Amino acid sequence: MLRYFIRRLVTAIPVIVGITIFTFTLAQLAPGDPAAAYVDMESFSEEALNAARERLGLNDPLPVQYVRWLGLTLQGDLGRSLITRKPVGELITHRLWNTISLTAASLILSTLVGLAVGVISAVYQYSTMDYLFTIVSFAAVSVPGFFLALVFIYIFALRLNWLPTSGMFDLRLPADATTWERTWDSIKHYIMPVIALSAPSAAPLARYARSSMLEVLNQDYLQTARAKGARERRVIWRHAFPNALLPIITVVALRLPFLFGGSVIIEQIFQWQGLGSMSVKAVLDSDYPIIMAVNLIFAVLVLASNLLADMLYAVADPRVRYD
Amino acid sequence: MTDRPIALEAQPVQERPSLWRRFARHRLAVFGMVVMTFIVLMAIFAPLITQWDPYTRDRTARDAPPMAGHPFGTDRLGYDVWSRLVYSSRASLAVGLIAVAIYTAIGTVAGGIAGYYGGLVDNIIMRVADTILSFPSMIIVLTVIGLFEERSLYVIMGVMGFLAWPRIARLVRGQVLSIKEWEFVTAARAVGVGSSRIIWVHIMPNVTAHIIVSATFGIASAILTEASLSFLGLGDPTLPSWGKMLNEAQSLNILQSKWWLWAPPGLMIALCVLGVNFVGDGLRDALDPRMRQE
Repeated sequence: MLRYFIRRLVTAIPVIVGITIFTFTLAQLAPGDPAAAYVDMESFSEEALNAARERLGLNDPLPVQYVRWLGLTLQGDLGRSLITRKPVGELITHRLWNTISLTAASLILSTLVGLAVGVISAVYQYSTMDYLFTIVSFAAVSVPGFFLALVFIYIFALRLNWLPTSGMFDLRLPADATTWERTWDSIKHYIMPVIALSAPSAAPLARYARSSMLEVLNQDYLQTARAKGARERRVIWRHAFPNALLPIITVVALRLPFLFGGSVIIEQIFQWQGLGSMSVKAVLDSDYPIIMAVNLIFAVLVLASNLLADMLYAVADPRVRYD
Repeated sequence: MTDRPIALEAQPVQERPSLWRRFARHRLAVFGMVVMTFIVLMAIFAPLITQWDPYTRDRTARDAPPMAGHPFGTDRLGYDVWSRLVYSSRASLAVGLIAVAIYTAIGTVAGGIAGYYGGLVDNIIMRVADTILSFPSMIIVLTVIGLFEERSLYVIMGVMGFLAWPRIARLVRGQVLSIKEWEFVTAARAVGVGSSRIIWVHIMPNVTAHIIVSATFGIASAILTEASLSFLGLGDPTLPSWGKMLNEAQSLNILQSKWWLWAPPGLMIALCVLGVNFVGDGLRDALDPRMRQE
């Protein structure tokens, strides 16, 4: 097991290096001069810009620049925004939390819904409910997230007036609001973005859970359990479900890049103060230091979650032998 | 486990119903096929089924509700919504087909080489694939498109095409790895057939079914990606597109009182993607029911 862990970590090293090289290359291709963010606007001149370039080492050969950039990045220095001139790290940290809480909530919701739907479809295979779930799953992956979000806003915010149209909290909330009121307000702002972001991920999880569960349901040991007098509910949830769950671990981890990608659009529509909406604005502004940092963070998170899933899988399923 | 009774699988190969019959048994796939036929016809015969040119404003009717001559009204600049809706199908289908063609070609070649030769070549190709797959595709596509001064449809197709090959490469590599152990490959090698001929003439035909199914689902997601990019304001600014129509209809005022500006393009994207996905599912069942488990 330990040897497998170490080998898995070793194969991740070239990918980490690849991620940094790829990000660095994109930054080199980007329009705009990162040195401009370090020159005082009032005293802007060619000489000042050149001096800044020299000071930042932007005239050095590319491999030298790459190593220096990598060193600074590892220390948490991600450069400065070309627009606001603030350090990128500072701009990103509080938004990172907003994106992570949004995607984490969506990952949990889509996993729970996907598993429930998958298990029910498998147990009642070919029933009306199974067919209905199949069609709903197809619809969930086919309807674009932004359209689903707009329909939600139309129905639940504009027509029914149940939920806020966008934002992360109510600006009109009185200053002396209780913690409970604040929490409830926050939950109301989470509901639509989380559901809109989860829907396209819940559907494939449900399909995987269904086929994984069907495979387990056909195995002899379940007959044994029934023969011993276990009730059907116990057979399904205690005997079959845990085994069907194993391959799902990897599939859940693979949803993460889709959730991060989806967050770009969902954050934009709901004016969520996260990394996704930040990166759209940065692309439109050609603010590359920010875009690079966002890409780097997302890629590292995805890689880390894949590693974690593989290791969890190895721990959870002793039948898997890695030589 | 297969969804079908075992007796059916044990029948001689000749008695298997034709590909088309197996496809037609999948009712949703037939529905998807009908929807796609309509959308393709719509794209081809766009000038015949629209009264207004999508690039010409009607100065007498700006921001008009549905009325005679403008079945879905006009937007605030006076463009006919129906006409824009119909012409948008061209951009969506073009991006879907061409982006997928590009990355399927790259992915098949890369995966074929990696799987057949193995060793260092395999390692390099797959680590590059892993690297690209670590970036959420929406975000990396957004980033690379931002690098271009001009965001034409070709740039969008190209960027999507060059960034999405790793998934196909992984699929093809896995298939090639297992097929190359089969006896007919050993036999071909024994009679002196060259490596590239073995890969492309002997092994690849056995992977085609997987590639076709994967490419079909790929078209659906490429259409969604294009729509999302246009929605974010990063699509081709000169062409009408469903995503862009939704982008222009983002205000709460329009959402509340002018359904004809946002509901039709949203439904068109959903219908188009749903149609392609149903066709893909039908193809998967018809080509090889065993693929379902993967």
